[in-house]
Amino acid sequence: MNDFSHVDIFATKGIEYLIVIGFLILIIPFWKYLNSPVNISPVFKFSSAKAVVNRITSKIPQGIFLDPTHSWAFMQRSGLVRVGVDNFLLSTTGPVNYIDLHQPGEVIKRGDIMGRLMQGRKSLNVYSPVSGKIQKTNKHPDKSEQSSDIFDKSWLYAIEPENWSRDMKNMLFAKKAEDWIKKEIDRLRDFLAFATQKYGYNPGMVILQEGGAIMDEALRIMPEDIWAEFQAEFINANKMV
Amino acid sequence: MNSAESIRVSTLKSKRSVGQFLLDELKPKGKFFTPFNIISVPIMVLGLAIIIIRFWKGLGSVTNLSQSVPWGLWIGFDVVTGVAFAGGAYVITFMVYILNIKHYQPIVRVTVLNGFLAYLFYAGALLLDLGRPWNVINPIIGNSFGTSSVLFLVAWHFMLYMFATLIEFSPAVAEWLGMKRVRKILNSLTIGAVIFGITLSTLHQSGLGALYLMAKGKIHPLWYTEFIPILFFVSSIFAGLSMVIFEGSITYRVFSHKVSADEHKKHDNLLFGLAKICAGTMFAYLFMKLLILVHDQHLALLTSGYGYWYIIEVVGFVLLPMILFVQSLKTRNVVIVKIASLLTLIGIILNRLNVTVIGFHWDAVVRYVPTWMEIVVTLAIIFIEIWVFRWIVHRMPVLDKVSSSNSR
Repeated sequence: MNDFSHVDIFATKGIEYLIVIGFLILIIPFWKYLNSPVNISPVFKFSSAKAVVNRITSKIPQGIFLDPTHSWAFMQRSGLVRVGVDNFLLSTTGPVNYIDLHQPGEVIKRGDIMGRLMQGRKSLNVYSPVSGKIQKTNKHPDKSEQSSDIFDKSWLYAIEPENWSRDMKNMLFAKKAEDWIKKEIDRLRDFLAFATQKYGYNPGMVILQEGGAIMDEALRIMPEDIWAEFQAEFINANKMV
Repeated sequence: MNSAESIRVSTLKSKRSVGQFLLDELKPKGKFFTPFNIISVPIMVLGLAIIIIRFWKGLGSVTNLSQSVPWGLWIGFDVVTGVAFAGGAYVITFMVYILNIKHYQPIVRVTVLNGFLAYLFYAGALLLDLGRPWNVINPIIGNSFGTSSVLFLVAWHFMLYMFATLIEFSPAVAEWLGMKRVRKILNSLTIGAVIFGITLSTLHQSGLGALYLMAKGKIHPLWYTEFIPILFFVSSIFAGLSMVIFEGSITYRVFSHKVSADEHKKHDNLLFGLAKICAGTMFAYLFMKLLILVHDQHLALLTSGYGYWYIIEVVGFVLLPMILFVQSLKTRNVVIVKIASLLTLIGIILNRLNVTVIGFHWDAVVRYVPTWMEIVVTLAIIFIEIWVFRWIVHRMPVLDKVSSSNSR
């Protein structure tokens, strides 16, 4: 017990109090900072649901058929049908790379995977809206919805249709297509609110509750699991007739 | 257990005896000549040989332990550090079963298994260090309980906690053996075992620190404080969770075929949750360290050699990983979480060894340095634990299926 010594507890009391007060003052902002929403890159903007609907529908030209799995088809004068991915999808994902595209000469069926949209490690399968033989493959489709003429530049294939009249019956056209897009945007808002909560994200990150504004390219900051749910919810080939 | 596996088990049970089934399960699965096996097998064989020599010829034949340094690497690393690393089990079970945060359910079994094995092997390594190992039973059977010693508390806690974690894990064993009714009974015991286990953990994590309270004057003043038990307890929270992050990342990679795609995806999100808890606890821990430093009036010692070493431990392996944990949350970067957890683990090893080995008899003329044999035995114990862990994960439903039906 020779080593036993007393510490004068009053010698350092003042500083100890200051440290404890400092801790109590700092722990609150520290914890708030830890729980604050993830710092999102400034390129992300919020738009009201109405603005999103307007932006998407205004870009859909006449004569375009939309498929419920978010692909589109357009019958050209030449008799070939151009197909691609709709701007609702691209405005939700942000810029993507197209991979696993088919080559000219291959035959594709309605509902077959026509390619994959990749963004880092995340991907979505997209399905062909028509059956037929691929005549041309677009080697450099536009990667982003930002381009004003997406339906002109982001087509994936020109297909010689096998039965156009049957395929077109299962797609949406003109006013019906517009109404459907509005519903899809409502669904997207609900989906993002649900999915972000489910995976522990702060929903405020992607959706502003007041007025229901949605973050542009919301899927860009989402992890793979939310992409997988998005695939099942919005691009589900089982829903194709 | 998936349907194919349950059919396999029931077929095995109906056609052959349980003994035959167990024999069958004992056979190795997969390739034998993997880099891990090639490295670990010789070390394990050598380690076991050294352990035999130790029991045959005594501690002095293989260790550098002496009357003045009776506890060396085996206690400092295997027991004191290993138990801190096993702290994840009580933190995760507390969150899932008591706070009802189901989010962490998928990692409960693997964490509890790790906790159990850590106690079994690392605390089991205590036997190696006892001069008369057969006396280990004394505090249990009452041949002089020794209630005035912290070791009495530690001995009972270790034993009871091993039982508690075994009960928590036992439903998985029952599922593996296809014993549905037994599993149901064991499931009903889980919540009791969890509450019991958490109580024991909070006490013995600090109890391990309390062991060193009687070594005042032998431990460097920067590491000796009457608050060692509290520091050990608080640091065991982030030590255990960092181990869960680090070991979980390896497990999910090695046994990736056992984990569903869905669980793989959720795992990243779990890591961020754990990172947040680590950052919060480390923040509090740093203030405690500062408070103790001021309270004990040791600020002047910081400019000595040991002072720099202390600063490296606290700044490099507590403050830095804490900042990295925060950074990982802000950037949603899993890699940073893993780096931070690794730094935290190194920091815990440093801290525990600073108290038990490096800062122990720091002013002695002849310092204790572990022999190569002590190091080999330590490595051998770690490898044996990994082998047993791997054997269990390959066979029992630890990662394969984690649903609400079988998790409780």
